[in-house]
Amino acid sequence: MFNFCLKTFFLTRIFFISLVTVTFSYFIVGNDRSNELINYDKIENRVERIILKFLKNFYTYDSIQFIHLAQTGYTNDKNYAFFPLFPLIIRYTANFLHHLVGDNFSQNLTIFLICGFVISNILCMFNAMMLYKLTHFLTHSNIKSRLVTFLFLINPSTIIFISIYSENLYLCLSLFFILMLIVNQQDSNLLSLFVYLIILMLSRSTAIFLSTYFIIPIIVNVFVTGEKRYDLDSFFSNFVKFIKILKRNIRYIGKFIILICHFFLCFFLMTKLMPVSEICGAFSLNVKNNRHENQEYNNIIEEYSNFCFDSNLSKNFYSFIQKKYWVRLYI
Amino acid sequence: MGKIIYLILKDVSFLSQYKEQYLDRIIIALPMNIICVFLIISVLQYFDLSLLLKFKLDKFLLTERVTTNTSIQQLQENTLQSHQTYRKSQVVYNSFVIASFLNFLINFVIVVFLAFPHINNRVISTCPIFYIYCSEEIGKFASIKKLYKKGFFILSFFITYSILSCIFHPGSYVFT
Repeated sequence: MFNFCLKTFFLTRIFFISLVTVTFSYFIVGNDRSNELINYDKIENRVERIILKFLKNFYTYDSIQFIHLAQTGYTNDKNYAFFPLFPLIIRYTANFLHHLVGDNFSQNLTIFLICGFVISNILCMFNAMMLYKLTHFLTHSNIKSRLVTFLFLINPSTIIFISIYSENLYLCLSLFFILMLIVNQQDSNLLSLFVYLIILMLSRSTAIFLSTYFIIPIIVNVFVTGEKRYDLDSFFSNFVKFIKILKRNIRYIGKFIILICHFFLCFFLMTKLMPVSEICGAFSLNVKNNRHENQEYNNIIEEYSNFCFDSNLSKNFYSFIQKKYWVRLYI
Repeated sequence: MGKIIYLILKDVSFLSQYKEQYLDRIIIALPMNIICVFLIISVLQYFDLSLLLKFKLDKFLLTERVTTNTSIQQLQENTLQSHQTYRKSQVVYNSFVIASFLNFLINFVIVVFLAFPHINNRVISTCPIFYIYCSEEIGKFASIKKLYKKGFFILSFFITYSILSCIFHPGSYVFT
């Protein structure tokens, strides 16, 4: 397994990284602003210039936001659309690397880009291995496991998986989570799962949908490890027996309901309370009522104060920022 | 609760992001959307939903998959202990399919209807069921001849699509 995953990983990475480098360097000019963000004239170190010219191909769109977050933290409202775990990992790794290489690199950005790129690709390798393990556990087939690993490594989002995006981290955590629930069906430790959920919630907003995987251990516990196999005939008796099964496993099911509640609580905290306390803390009724000569400024103040003073719980800051900057319809 | 649902629906006008302006993004996400629709159909066909409505959950979860895997078939044919192992592996597989399918479906619906279509590639590629479905589809061609003809076609399509996405996805804004 290890050999196959490693070989396929390196072969596909070499192919796709070369493809992206050639395409971006010679064909795509348009809206790629990464060149504008890096000042090559200031770089005297030749190695650093080569590294930056290579990594700028992967320094586009969301990658810019992740690197900015790793460098400076949450400094503007736009940053709140991105979750903190991936930038945090880049930041600590970059600090460690900075201690190792000293001041060899004139640009702080170089170290952050190297760390982001390497972390993302190492996680991608782990993902390939975990997918192999998961498929093998489910299908008991080596061929299918190899095929799944291969498909993952050449999937249509490969560009995302080789760039500095949080997808690799999210997939790595979620695959580990799924493996934990499937392999360790009955003896899932509540506390460890809870801590793990908090970590998962820090990676991406879509982590909340992983709560669907909680049903796996419940189903397996009720229908496989139950003492008696039920022969269900009519609707009414089925329902009564089903309730009996549920009653017998109520402690186990209750445990998972608590976990799902924690999941939603974490999501709520991540997307609403934390950023709101920082952003809305700056607003007061005086700011809202003060009018400025600049109409654009007034509009921004109006927009934010409407959000901050609206007590409606259905609104969250994450959706507010998504609508403002990217996707008008995203909820 | 009703108020929350009303507020969400009020904000959302379905499919309004499918405009000519975003044609490049729609095109790049189209093959993935088609695969996703096939995935949804095949999972719904795989399970007998009438068993679920009749609360025959044990039969529902023991739905057998079409497999060329001899080790599982041998398990089924052997002793009682092996039968139980087979039964357990089948329930684990099916419960995984149900859980991951639900996860996939929520992601798919939210992305296709509420966000930009090109994000679909990013979201769906983090769902393990997508890869397992594709491998099952390729694995259906049991004979070498069929595998070379149709399985190879699917594989080559997958590779071409990923190469094209690699080239056009980040630079797709050039063509708008």
